[in-house]
Amino acid sequence: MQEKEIKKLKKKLEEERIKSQEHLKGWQRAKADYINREKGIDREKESWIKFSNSKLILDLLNFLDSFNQCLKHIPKELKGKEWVQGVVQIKGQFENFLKAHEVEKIKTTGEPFDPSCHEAVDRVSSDNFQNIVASEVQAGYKMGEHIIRVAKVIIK
Amino acid sequence: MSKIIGIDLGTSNSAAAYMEAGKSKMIPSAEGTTVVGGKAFPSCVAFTKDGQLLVGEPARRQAVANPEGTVFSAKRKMGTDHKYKIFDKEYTPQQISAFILQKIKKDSELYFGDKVEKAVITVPAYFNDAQRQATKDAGAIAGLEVVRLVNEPTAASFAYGLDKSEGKDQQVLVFDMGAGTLDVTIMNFGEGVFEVISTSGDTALGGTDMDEILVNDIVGSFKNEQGIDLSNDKMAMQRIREATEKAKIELSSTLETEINLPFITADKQGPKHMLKKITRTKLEELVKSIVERCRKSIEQAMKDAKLNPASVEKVVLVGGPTRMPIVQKFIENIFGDKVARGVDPMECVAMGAAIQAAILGGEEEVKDVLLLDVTPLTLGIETLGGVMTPLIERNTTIPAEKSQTFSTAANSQTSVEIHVLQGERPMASANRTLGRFILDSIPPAPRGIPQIEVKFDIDASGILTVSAKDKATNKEQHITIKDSSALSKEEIEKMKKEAEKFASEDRKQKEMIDIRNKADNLIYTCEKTIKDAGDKIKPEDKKTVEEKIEELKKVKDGQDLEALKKVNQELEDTIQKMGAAMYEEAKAKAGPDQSAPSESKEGGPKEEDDSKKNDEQEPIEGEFEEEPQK
Repeated sequence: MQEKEIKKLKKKLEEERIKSQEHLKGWQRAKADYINREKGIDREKESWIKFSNSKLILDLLNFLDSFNQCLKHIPKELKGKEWVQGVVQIKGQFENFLKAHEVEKIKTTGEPFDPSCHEAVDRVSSDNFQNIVASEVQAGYKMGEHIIRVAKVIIK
Repeated sequence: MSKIIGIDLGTSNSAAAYMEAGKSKMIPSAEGTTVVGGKAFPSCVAFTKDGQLLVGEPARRQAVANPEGTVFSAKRKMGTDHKYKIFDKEYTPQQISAFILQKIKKDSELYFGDKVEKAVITVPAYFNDAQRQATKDAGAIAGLEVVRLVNEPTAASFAYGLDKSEGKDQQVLVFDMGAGTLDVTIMNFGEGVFEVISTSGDTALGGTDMDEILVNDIVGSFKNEQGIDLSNDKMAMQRIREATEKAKIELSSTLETEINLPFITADKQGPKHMLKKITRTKLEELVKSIVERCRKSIEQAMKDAKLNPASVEKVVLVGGPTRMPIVQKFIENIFGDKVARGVDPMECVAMGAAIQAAILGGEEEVKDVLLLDVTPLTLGIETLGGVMTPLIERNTTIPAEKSQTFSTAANSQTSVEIHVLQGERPMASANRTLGRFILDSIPPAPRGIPQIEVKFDIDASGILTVSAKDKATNKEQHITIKDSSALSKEEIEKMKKEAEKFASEDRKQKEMIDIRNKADNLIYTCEKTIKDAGDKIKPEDKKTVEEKIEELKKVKDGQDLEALKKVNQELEDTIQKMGAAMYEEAKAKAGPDQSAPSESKEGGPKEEDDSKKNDEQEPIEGEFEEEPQK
């Protein structure tokens, strides 16, 4: 009778032991998940800072595009005027700002076409296709190694 | 154990997702359309003349340069004998798809820093056996074991949690509008299984058509106004396309936006600028015919399923264009308010695949033991002026514990009532009462001096214990509330909605009470200062302050918020000036006289001494069950 009871209790103990092991594993896993998540958050935070900077710069590039267009249209008779020179200098300021943030213009015209930073929007039809950039439709920029905006180009 | 990922292998775009801690997350594509590497990428594969393989964005970018070496939409040819002949080499559609899957495998391995060998891949519901087999083969070629193919509409329904809906069978309609294709699927969900009843669609209808119409309209109206055709000006078109895309997205949340492109072009007269207002109404007018074309596919699917709109219980929207209000309105006009919401329609297929992958990978088992719940609504207590002060914000994962120290509102207050509340409204009376209890025998002290620590503790099963302890005497009372989360989903939703509805009214009322509390405090401080200072202040100063106090008392309980703010500020300024003058005078006397403040400081401990007598009594613990609701 007693032996039977002991057996029963041992079995029960074994069951409980298994259960507690399971719980412990689950707990460890949850804790590990949490710690890993924390680490992940730290990594993400860093990349988010970079991301928000490059996103802001991406939005600013629209102004630079318009500004560059504007400078292309300076009437000839005004070109030498001090006032116009001042405006041209603003462009220099903008370029310095980009440089300070390690933003660099992607080289285009004359370069071999590279789909990792160039996007071909058209090709000049010719018999001698060289796969190089003929002209730039929209300037591209990179921040360090990271491409903020690919350059839109016509290739030949 | 390596992760099983979920893959949305789409006609125009592909994406992948995985499960982490019970949540599906997108795996970023190494390069992408957006800044840090987008989530989805074009389903495009290319071979350059020098034998380089390109997949995704780079392949799309060089398509114009290398049309003969570029393959788009290989999915449309899956399961056929079609062969892509590229530079004297032949590729089957599954080989092309395999390149896309390989890229996903590589990106995922880079992301996890671990091997990825298994995947769940989604396919359109209408795919036949040959097409399904071809998809599996593509996986195998890419080195991925396809543990299951899941229908795209089923995956989307999973992402929206429709598989969790209990009870009777329901009919689900999935409206999937991608960049270039429309798929409508009707499914029956019952006993945990989604069964496809009918499918319909249009292989040449999608978001791209809408963009095209809008760009054409803008270019057309510029031509009308300025007489210049921009459609051959690559640079101008590039700028217009980008601005249009941005405007389209903005118009999903605003009613009006503008396309502002200075120096878009020039003629002999000089530069020309584009400045055009676009309203949502105008956009909707333009794309209306495209949206209308979807009706045929919906009707066909319903006819085949022998259903009418009323018998469809849930509608799931998939794809970017379904974010547009006009598309949502169109669907609501047919089906009423049955649209499932809350998941990004562009990500839901990949996310659903990831959920399936997690279930197949056995991650669900782990979750069963450690399934952690959240509190559906905010929990807090009522504080001065009938304000609800939250302690545990809604959506907090439980078990959780939080404590905050409060004080008394009146002098010699010997008891505080802890009114435990649940809800999102700032005013106590608008929330649900979970229970209340009184902590008494607080030693008499000036208001603000006693420290009452209130602690909220919810265990994993949602049982909430609220305790309040007087830090001076360690006397404690507590209440246990068993069903803090016993509200039905509908009740919770109702409470959240009400909170949104009354948000601005509530904010005003809360502001009123906050300023009233502030006024109360100020009056108390001023009166005390005058009393303590005795004859150290000039009678005329004293009179001014007293007048201001009277004035503030008068407006305090009125409804004029602005007047209250004004008088409050005036009294504050006056008392500060008076205080400054007192210090000046003290300095002038050259003998610091600090008897006033120190006297009051000593007052506190004295009273605490009295309290020690009370402390000798055993603290009475009271247990309060939740009171039945009114």
